[in-house]
Amino acid sequence: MTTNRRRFIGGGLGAVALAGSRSTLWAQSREPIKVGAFGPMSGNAAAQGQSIRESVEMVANLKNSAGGVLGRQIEIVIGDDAGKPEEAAVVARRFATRDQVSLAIGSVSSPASLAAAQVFREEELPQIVVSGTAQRITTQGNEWVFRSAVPDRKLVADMVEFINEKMPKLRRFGFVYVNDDFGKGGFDAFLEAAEERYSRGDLDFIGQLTRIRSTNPDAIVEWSRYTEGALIHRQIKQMGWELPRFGSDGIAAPAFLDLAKEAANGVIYPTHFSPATSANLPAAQAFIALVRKTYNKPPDYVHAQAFDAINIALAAIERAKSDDRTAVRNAMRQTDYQSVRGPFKFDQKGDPTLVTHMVRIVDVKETDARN
Amino acid sequence: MGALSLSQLIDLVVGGLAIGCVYSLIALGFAMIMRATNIIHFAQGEVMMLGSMCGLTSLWLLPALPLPVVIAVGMASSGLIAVAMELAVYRTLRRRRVPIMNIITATVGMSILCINAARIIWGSEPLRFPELFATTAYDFGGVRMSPQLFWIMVMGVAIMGALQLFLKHTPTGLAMQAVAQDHEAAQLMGANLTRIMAYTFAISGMMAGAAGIMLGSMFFAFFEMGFITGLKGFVAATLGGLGSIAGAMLGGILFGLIETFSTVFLSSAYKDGIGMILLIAILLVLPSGLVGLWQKRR
Repeated sequence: MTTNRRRFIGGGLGAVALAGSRSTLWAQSREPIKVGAFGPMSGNAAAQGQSIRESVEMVANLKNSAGGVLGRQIEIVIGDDAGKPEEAAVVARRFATRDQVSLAIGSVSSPASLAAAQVFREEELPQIVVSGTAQRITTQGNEWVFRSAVPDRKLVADMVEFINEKMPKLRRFGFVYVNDDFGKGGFDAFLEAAEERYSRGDLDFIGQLTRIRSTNPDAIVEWSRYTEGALIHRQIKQMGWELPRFGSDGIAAPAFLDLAKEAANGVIYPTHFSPATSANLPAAQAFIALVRKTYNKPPDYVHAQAFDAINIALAAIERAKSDDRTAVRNAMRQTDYQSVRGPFKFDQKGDPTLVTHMVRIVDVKETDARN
Repeated sequence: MGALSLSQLIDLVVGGLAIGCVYSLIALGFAMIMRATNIIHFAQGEVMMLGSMCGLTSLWLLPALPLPVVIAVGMASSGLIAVAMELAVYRTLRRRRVPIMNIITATVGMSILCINAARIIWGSEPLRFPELFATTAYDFGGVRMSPQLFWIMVMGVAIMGALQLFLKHTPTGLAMQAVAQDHEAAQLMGANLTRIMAYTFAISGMMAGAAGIMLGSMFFAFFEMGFITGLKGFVAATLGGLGSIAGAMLGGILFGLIETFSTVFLSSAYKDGIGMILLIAILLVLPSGLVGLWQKRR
C-alpha cells in the first residue's frame, strides 16, 4: 500500500520551526486539526481518488490561509485504498489510530466505503462517504457514517418520478442492465419492464437489444457504466431504432459523450453534479470558478461531492467548537448547508436530502432536463 | 419473447457474421503459429490490441486516412510486433531447447507485458475510433444493413481469401505449408526454417492487426481488449480443430453466430458461459474439431 501524506501548515517549514521553539502548552492548543481523506489514489479509479484529494486540499488550503478553523490549521492526511475494500479497512484503522484524525472523508466505491465504515464504527470516528451510492452503507444502524452522494435507490426513485411527471405516456420499459449490484439496484425500481442483463466488459449488445425490441416497449432504460453505456446507445442507433432512451448515473461522465458522440443525443440520465443543471445555484457557480482557477479544469462530480463533504465537515467542527469525534458527529447532524448541488441536510440515516439532477443530451452536450 | 421479424433476424445474422470474421482472423493466427511451431501463442489477442491502437494513432496523426490505409497500418504494425516477439523471445527460447510448455508460458508473459505497455502509452480509458463507415444503413432490396458490419464482413472474407491464395500459390506460402507439415523434411528440401517461422508470425500478426481495426471501429480500442477477444479467438481455433486453417476460419464465424444467437434464444447475462458450454459439447462429439467433419470422410 502506498501512503501519501501532505501537511498544510501555513508558511510551511518556517512555521513548523517556529512552533517548535514556543512553549509546549501553546503548541498543543495550536496543533493542527487532522482530517483524513481517502480513495483510490492508484489503480483503475485513480482519477476519482485524485478528485477527492484535489477538492479537499483546495478547501483546506483556502481555510488555512484565512486563519484555519477554531484558530487552528487543518492538516489533511491522504490515504490510498486502490479501490479495494481490504485496503480501505487498513487505511481506516490507520486514520483512527496512528494518524488520530477527527473525521474521515471517503471513499469512491461502495465496497471500499462500506469496509472502511465498519472500522470507523468500531473506532467511533465520523465518516463522510463521497461517492459510494449503495443503499446499504447507511442502513446498517451505523451512527458514525454520513454520505455526500445521493444513494442509488433515491436516485432511481427520483428518475421514475421525473418520467411520470414529464413523460406520463411512457408506460412500458425495456431495461438492459449490467449483471451486478449496481445494475440490479436500478432495475428494482422499474416493475413493468422487459429485462435483459449482460456481464461487465461485454461489447456486443445486439442480442439483448433485439430481444427487448421484440417486446415493443415505449422507452428503453440502460443501467451501465459509461463504457458499456456508450456502446448500447451506439448500437441502438445502429439498429435504426428510435425511442426515448434513459441511462443511469454511471454514464454521467465526460467520457460517455466522447465514446458515444452523436448517438448520445436525446439520452436522459440522473447525475450527481453537472454544470448544466447548476446554472441557478450560486454555490455551484463559485465552486466551478474555484476549481477552474486552482486546477485549470472543469470539476467532475467527485470534486463536487468531496467539496461539499469537506465544507460540511469543517462547518461541523466549527459548530462543535472542538475536534472531538463525538462532538463533531453530533454537530454534523445539525448540518444545514447551501451545497453546490442545492440545499443540503442529512436525514436520519445520514443520507443527503438533495433532489437528483436530471440531464438531457442535446448536440453532444449536457443540458438541464428539468427545464 | 415474441417472434423475430425477418429484419431482426438479418440484423442478428449480420452481427454474428461480422464479429465471427474478427474471431476468424484471430483464430487464423493461433492456427498458423500452432502448425509451424506447436506453440499456443497466448499473446495473439494483445498483438491484435496493439494493431488497433497503432491504427487509431495513425488516424489521430492524419485524420483523413481512408479505411484501407488504416487497416494496412494496423496489419503492418501488428505484423512487425509479432515478428519482433518471435525473433527476440520465442526463437531464442527454441534455440536454447527450452521445453515447449515453457515457451507457451513465455507467450502468457508477453501478453501481460503488452497489456502494461499499452496502458502506459495509451492510458486505461477506452478510445473511440472516428466514424470510418457511412452511418446511414444500406438497403439491399428492402433489407437494411449497417454499412459498418457489411464492410467488416466483406473485408474479413477478402483478407482470408487473400491468405488462402498466398498459401496455395506463392513459393513462400508453399514453403510455409511444407514447414507446417514436417520441419525436417522441409528443411532438407531447402526451406529456411528461421525465415519461414518469422513469416508465419508476420502473417499471423497481420491477421490480428486487421481484426484489431475492425473490432476497434465496431466498439472501441482499449488496453484490455485483447484478453477476452484473444481467448475467444483461441476457442474458435479449437472449435475448428487446432492447427487447421480452414477450420479456424469456420470456427470463428460459427462461434460468432453461436454467441449472438445464444443471447437471443437462451440467456443474455450468461452469453460467454453458454458459448463455452456449446464449445465443450461440440468437442465431445467431434474431438478434433470441425475439421474432423471432412477429414473423417476422406
